[in-house]
Amino acid sequence: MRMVEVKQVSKSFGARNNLVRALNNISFTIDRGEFVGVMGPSGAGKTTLLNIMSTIDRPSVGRVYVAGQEITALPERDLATFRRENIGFIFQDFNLLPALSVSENLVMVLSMLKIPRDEVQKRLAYYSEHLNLNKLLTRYPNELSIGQKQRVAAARALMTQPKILFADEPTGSLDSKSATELLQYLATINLENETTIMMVTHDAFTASYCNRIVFIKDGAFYSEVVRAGSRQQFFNQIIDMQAAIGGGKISDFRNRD
Amino acid sequence: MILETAIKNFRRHLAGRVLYLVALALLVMVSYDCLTTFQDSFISRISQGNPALVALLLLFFSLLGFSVLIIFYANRFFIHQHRSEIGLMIISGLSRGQIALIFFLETLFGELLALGFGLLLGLLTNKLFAMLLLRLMGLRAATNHWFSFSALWKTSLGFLIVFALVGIFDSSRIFSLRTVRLLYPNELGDIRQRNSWLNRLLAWLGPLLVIGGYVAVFKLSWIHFMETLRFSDRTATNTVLIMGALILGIWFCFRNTLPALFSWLQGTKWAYDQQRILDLATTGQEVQFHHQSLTLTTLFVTASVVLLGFASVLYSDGFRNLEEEAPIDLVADRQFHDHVLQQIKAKGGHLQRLAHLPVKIMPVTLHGPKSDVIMSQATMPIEIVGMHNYLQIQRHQKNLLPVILDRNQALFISQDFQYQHVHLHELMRNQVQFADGKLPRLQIVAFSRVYPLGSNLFFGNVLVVPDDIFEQIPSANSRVLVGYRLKKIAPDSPFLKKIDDDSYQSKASRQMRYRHPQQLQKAQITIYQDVKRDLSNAYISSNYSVRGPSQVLLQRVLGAIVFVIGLLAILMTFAWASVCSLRELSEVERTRFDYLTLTKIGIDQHHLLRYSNWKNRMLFLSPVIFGIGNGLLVMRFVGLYLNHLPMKLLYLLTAAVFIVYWCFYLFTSYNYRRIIKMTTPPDQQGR
Ligand SMILES: Nc1ncnc2c1ncn2[C@@H]1O[C@H](COP(=O)(O)OP(=O)(O)OP(=O)(O)O)[C@@H](O)[C@H]1O
Ligand SMILES: [Mg+2]
Repeated sequence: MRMVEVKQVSKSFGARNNLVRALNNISFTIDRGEFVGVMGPSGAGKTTLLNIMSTIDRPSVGRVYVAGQEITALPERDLATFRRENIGFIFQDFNLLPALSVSENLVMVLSMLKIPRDEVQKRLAYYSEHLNLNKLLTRYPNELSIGQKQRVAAARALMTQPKILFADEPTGSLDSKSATELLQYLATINLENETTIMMVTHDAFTASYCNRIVFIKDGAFYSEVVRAGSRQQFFNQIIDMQAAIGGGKISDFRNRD
Repeated sequence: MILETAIKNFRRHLAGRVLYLVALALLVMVSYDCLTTFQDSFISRISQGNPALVALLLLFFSLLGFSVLIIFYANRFFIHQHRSEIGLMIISGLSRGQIALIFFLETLFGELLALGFGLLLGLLTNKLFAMLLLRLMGLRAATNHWFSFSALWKTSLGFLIVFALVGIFDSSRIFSLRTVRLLYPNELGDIRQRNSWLNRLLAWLGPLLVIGGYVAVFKLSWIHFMETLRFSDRTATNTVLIMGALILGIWFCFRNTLPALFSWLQGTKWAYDQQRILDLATTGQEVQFHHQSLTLTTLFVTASVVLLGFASVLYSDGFRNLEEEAPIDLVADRQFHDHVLQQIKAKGGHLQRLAHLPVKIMPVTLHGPKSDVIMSQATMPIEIVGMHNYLQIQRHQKNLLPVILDRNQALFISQDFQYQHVHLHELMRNQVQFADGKLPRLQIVAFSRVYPLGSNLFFGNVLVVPDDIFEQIPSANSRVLVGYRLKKIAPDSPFLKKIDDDSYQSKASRQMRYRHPQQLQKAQITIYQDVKRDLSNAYISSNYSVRGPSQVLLQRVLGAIVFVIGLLAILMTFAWASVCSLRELSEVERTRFDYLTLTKIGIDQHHLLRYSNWKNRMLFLSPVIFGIGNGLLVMRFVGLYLNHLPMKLLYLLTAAVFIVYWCFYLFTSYNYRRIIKMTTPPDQQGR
C-alpha cells in the first residue's frame, strides 16, 4: 500500500536573478511500513524535500500524496487535522515546548483532540516505558540532556500514533550511544506498529538502520539502495554510493568499522 | 490544556516581562486618575470656565492610543520569541485558531494583571495625582474623590477594547505566519535586498534627509505654527516638511544606511584589527530587522525630550510671568476710578486703598551699545514713574526690584528686552536722553521685568527716575493709577471676570499714537480714549485692571498643560523603554543557539557575555542617544527663539530620560544573560 507518493515536485527559492532550484522534478514513492533514509550531499535538497512531504512547506510545482490525500491541495485549515491524524516529526534541535514538563509535552496535542483520558494515559505509559522516560516525566526540557530530549521528542511525535514519522537528522547532535539507542527505538516502532518512517541523515551508520536509502543530488533523484543482507553489508553499500555521489565522508567508515 | 499551556507560558516569561507589565499598569493608573480627576465635582466646577481640563480627557485617550501601540509591539516581539514554539505546535497538528488562543490567553493574563494592578494603583495614587494637578494650577483645595465606579469601568472597558483590538491583530498575524519561516528562520532574503540600487539610494538619502531636516529647523520659519496651530499658514507646511524629512531620514538611517555601513565595515580589513568595530559591524542585520522599532524609539525619545522641553518652558517661563504680575487686586486710574469702585461695592466687595502711582510719558533716545535694537527705531516712547511712588508700591508688591537711585540714574523696566538678544551689561551701558532738552541724560543702572501694579496697565517700557527729575517732566498725557486690596469677592468669580473683560474694551483702554519717531525733537505722542481712528502704529493699555480672572485662568491652563505634557513624556519614556527591553529579550531565543555553538567552539562564556552586553547596549541606547540629540537640537532652536529657555532644567529632564532607558538596558542585559546561561545544556553548566 502506498504511504507517500511524490510526483514531479520542483521547488525553487528566490527571485528571478538569483533563483535557487532546491528540488528539480523529483518523483518517488514510499510504501506503508517502510523505514526510508534520504541521503545526499549538503545542499542537495533533503531538508526541502522533507519539509514539502511533511506539509511544512509547499512545492513550486508538482503534487504530493500522503496517506491517500493530496496534501499539496489541502488548505491550511484542513492541514491541521491532517497533521494530527497522520504525521509525526522529529527535528534536529527544537522539539519540545520549554514551558511544559515532559509529560505535558507528550499529552498536549492528545488532550486537545478530546481523546478520552484513560486512552491518553495508556499511550503515555506505553511510550514512556518504551523509550525509557519514566524518570523524566516531571522534568522540564531545560533539565534534560540532548539525548534525553531527542527520546522525548520521539515519544511526542509517536503519541498521536501517526501513520508516518518524518525525522530530519534526529541523531545529528547526539553522541553515538544515544544515537544508537534512539535508532533502535525507531526501528522497533517501525517493526511493531508498522509506522512508516522517513529520515534524513548524513551519517551512513545511522542510515544503516533503514531498509531503503534514497539518494538525491542537486534536487533530483540519483539512485537508491535497498537493504538485502546484514546491516554491515548495507552499511558498506551506502558508503560506496556516498563515494560515488561525492560529498560522503570517508571518515565515517574508519570510525565505525 | 490550552489554558494550562497559556498559564505555563505566561509564568515562564514573567520575569522578563515584569517591567513591561509595570509600565502597562502605570498607563492604566494614570488613565484612571485622569478620569476620576476629571469627574471630581470640585474640579469639574472649575473646568466649566477652563477648557484646559479637557487636556485630561485628551491625555486619557492618548494613553489608550499609546497602549495600543506598545502592546502591539510587545506582542510582536512575543510572537517573535515564540516562533519556533509556534512552528512546533503547527506541525504537531494544532490549528491556527488554537495557537492564536493560547497566545492571546498568555498575553491576556499579563494584561489583566497589569489592568488590575493599575486600577489598584490608580485608587491609591488618585489623591496625589489630583493634588499635584491642583498645585500646578495654583489651587489650594483638597479633593477626596478617589473612588469612582464610572471611571473604574470606563478605564477597564477602554483597556479591554485595546486588548481585544491587539488580540485581533495578533491572531491575524499568527494565521498568516508561514510554517517554514517559523522552523527555519533564514536571513537570506535580507541579504539579497541589501544589494539593490534602491537600497543604496535610500542608504544615502537617510542621512541627507536628517541633515536637511536639521538645517531646515534653523533656516525655515516654523515655530509660528506651534503657537497658532493654524494649518493654512506657510509655517504649517514648513513644520510638516521638517517633521517628514526627519522621520523619513531616521527611518532610512536604521533601515538602510546603518546595515549597509555595517556590512561594508565587515568587509574592510581594519575592522578585523579592532575588535569593537567588528562587533559593531555584526549588529547590522539586527538593526535592519528591527529598524521599525529603532525608528520609533528615536522618535519617541525625541518627542519626550521636546515635550519635556515645552513643559519646562511653560513651567518656568509661564509661571515666572505669572509671578511678575502684581499681587495687588484692583488698579484703576482716575477716569474709571469711581465707576469701578461703585460696581464692586454694590456687589458687597470691600476695598482697601494701598498706594497711588502717577505716570508720565515722553519720547526718549537711548545712547549706548545696541540701543537701536532695544528701541527698535530711532526713538521710543517711554512711561515714567517716580522713585518715591515706586518704592511705596514695592511695600505691597514684594516682587518689585528694590532700587535706590542716585542723581541721574534710572531703572529700566521692560518685558520685551529679554527677547531682543541683548546682554544685560550692554543695556546697562546705555543712557537715556529725553525729548525735553532741559532734562539731563540718565544712566540706566538696573533692569527689571516686573512692572509696578502689573504690566497690562502700561503701553510698553517704563523708566523709574529720581523724584526731582520726575517733577520736571511735563505732565501732558499723564495719569494716576490707584491700587486697592479687594476682600469678600472670590478672585475667579464671574463678576470680577466681567469687570476684567470690560477693562479690555475700547472704552476703557487708552490708545497711544506715536509719530515722527526718526528725530527726538519732532517725535510726538498723542493719547486717545474711546476714539476710533486709524491707529496702525498704536499701543493699547488698560485703564484699570483686576487681578484675578485672567491670571487665575492662565495659571490653571498652564498648570494643566504642564502637568499633562510632563506626565505623557514620562509615561512614554517608561513604557517604550520596556518595549525595547522586550525586543532584545525576544532575540535571545534565536541567538542562544549561536552562543551555544560558539561556546562549543571554545570561546569562553565570559567573552560571549561581554559581547552580548555590548550588542544590547548598542541596539538599546543608540536610538536613545540619537533621539536625545534630535530633541535637544530642536529645543535649542526653540530656546534661541525664546532666548531664556531653562536649558538646565531641560538637561536635567533629558538626563532622567536617559537614565530610565539605561536602567531598562541593565534589566534587559541581566535577563539576557540569565536566559543564555539557562540554555546552556546541563552537561556544560559548571556545577
Ligand atoms: N529559504 C531558502 N531560500 C533560498 N534558498 C534556499 C532556502 N532553503 C534552502 N535553500 C537552498 O536550497 C538548496 C537545498 O537546501 P536544503 O536545505 O534542502 O539542503 P540539504 O540537502 O538539507 O542540505 P544539508 O545536508 O546541508 O542540510 C540549497 O542550495 C539551499 O541553499
Ligand atoms: Mg538539511
